[in-house]
Amino acid sequence: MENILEVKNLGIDLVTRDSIRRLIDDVSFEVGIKQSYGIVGESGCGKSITAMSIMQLLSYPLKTGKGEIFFDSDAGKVDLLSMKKEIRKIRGKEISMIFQEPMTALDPIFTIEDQIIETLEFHTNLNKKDMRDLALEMLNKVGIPRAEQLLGEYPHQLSGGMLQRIMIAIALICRPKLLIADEPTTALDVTIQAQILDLMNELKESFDTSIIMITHDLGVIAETCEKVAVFYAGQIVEETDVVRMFHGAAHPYTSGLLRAVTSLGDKSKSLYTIPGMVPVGGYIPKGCRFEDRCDRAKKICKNNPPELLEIEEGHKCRCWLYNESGDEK
Amino acid sequence: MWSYIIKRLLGLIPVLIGISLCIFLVLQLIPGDVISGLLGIEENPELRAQLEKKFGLDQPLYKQYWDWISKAVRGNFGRSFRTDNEIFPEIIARFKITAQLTVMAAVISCLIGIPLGILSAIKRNTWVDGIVRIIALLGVSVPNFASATLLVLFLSLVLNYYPPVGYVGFFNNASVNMKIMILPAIILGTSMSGSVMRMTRSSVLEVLRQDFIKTVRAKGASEKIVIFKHALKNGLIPIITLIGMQIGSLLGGAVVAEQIFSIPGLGLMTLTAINQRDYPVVQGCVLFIAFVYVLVNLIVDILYTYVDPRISYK
Repeated sequence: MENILEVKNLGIDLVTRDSIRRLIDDVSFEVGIKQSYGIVGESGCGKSITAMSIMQLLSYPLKTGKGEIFFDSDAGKVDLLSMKKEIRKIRGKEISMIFQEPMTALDPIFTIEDQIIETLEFHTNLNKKDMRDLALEMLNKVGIPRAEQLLGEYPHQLSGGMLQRIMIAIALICRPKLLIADEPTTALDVTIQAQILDLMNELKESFDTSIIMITHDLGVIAETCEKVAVFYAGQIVEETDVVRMFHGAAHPYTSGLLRAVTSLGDKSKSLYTIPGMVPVGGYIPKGCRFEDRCDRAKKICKNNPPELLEIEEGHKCRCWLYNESGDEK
Repeated sequence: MWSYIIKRLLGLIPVLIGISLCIFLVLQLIPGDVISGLLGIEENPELRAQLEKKFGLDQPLYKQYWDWISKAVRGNFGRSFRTDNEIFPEIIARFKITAQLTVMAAVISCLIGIPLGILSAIKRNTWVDGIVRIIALLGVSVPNFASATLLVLFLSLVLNYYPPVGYVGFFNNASVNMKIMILPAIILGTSMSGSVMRMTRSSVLEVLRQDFIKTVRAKGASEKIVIFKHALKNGLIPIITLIGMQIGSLLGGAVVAEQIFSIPGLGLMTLTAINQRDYPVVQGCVLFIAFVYVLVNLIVDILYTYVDPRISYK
């Protein structure tokens, strides 16, 4: 397997007592070994639940409805979605995850030490002292001062930036092959954000880890990723490498996102926004999901859903503008 | 911590003064008095005056109160109008019985309530959860006197089992004592367990929704670790609070259960004293019960600090 992770035709459903709604539809992507793969999209587009489904962390009422997620594990290629209890051996050891809100991601009633070595307890046979040494080593690696003292403290005694560093330490302590970072910097203030991203880039090199970076912040993508998928309303609408995304975006939604980025020195009076709203409340348009907000929509877009097609090498786009069969209409 | 405990104990003083005033005045409002009860049909003014003088009832109210409270703070609750026994030792003796009953009931309620509550949370919205919730609802809503009567009837008519009559202390004969105490303990315990079950269920469910549970799962934890190490421990505070409150009120006397099973506990003592208008006994019991209740609450508050490191008292 050349890739560390291959997601194939993933579908995620919202299951209620009397209905099933498909939130994520037909998502496929691959993450290469040691690659940083970005997933970008606005709130509610399904990027987080896609990430959760990789480790089977979805909880009621969400369920993976179809598809396969292949992972190049120590034991060879496995389909994560078809695994039952065995997935616990993968979680935390071969795939780790960092969450958005470090303040609530740690159990408030256990010490930092307990929570770091808990992962080791699940996956190794080390004795207490070795675990503690390893925990200290990891804390040093993630740039935490006075690590020794901090081991005995509780999450509420520490700042968000510190906690996120600790989360990273917990995630990397078993040297996983894949790290999923679900908006790791969103809850932090700007200077800390930059520090955390630098740290992740650095550790990625020294730990040889692949990263899936989920964010709504194009700046984060630019700083950390090699390949990017743009999510819109539960689908991938564009996938390409990071340079092409910023300099040759094909999909009108991606272009819209890029135009909405503000920069210092921007003299325009108002900020650009994409008109309209994301489809909400289970309503899914018949044709292209972006059609009613798109300034380049054609007749065909209204009733016919476009497919994700390769428009040039390594660049996929889900749009009728780039589909020849849609030209005449 | 110690200064906190001392502060809380000092805070007890105004509470107890308030309670003593209330109970003293309320007793004056109850129609009938102890002397008519004592004299019965032989009532005559001369005897009445004699007894009033003996009990100090001829004094003005404020003086009666002062006489009583100034002795009570030194642990001397006076003597019963009826039996002429010292009240305080009697209260302690009765309290031991009630305390044993309470502890047994609390243990039973935890043994039933917490595991079933957890089970119900894990299996939420399934038939298992449904059955547990119905049991819990029954526990909460069936009154003690009904379940106690049914239990006694069932045991005697169907199983032909009769619990021993007449109280025997635990240290005199432990097995007979347990036979006497177990039935009321089961009744009180099961009815307490209903709310413990409900509290455990909602508390564990609440914790399971938190972000850190996802982190624990993402680390590779088994469900056992997720539930017992993280969810239950985090959900303990409301459960402890509830059990503490229940213990507090049971220690104040499980009047109904003690009456039905003729357990000579504090509740029965208070009830009898009220019926007999035995003022100093009622006053003593109520003051003691209030004291115990506040003490139990203090202990619960201190327990919090052991369960949750975020709570500390300075």
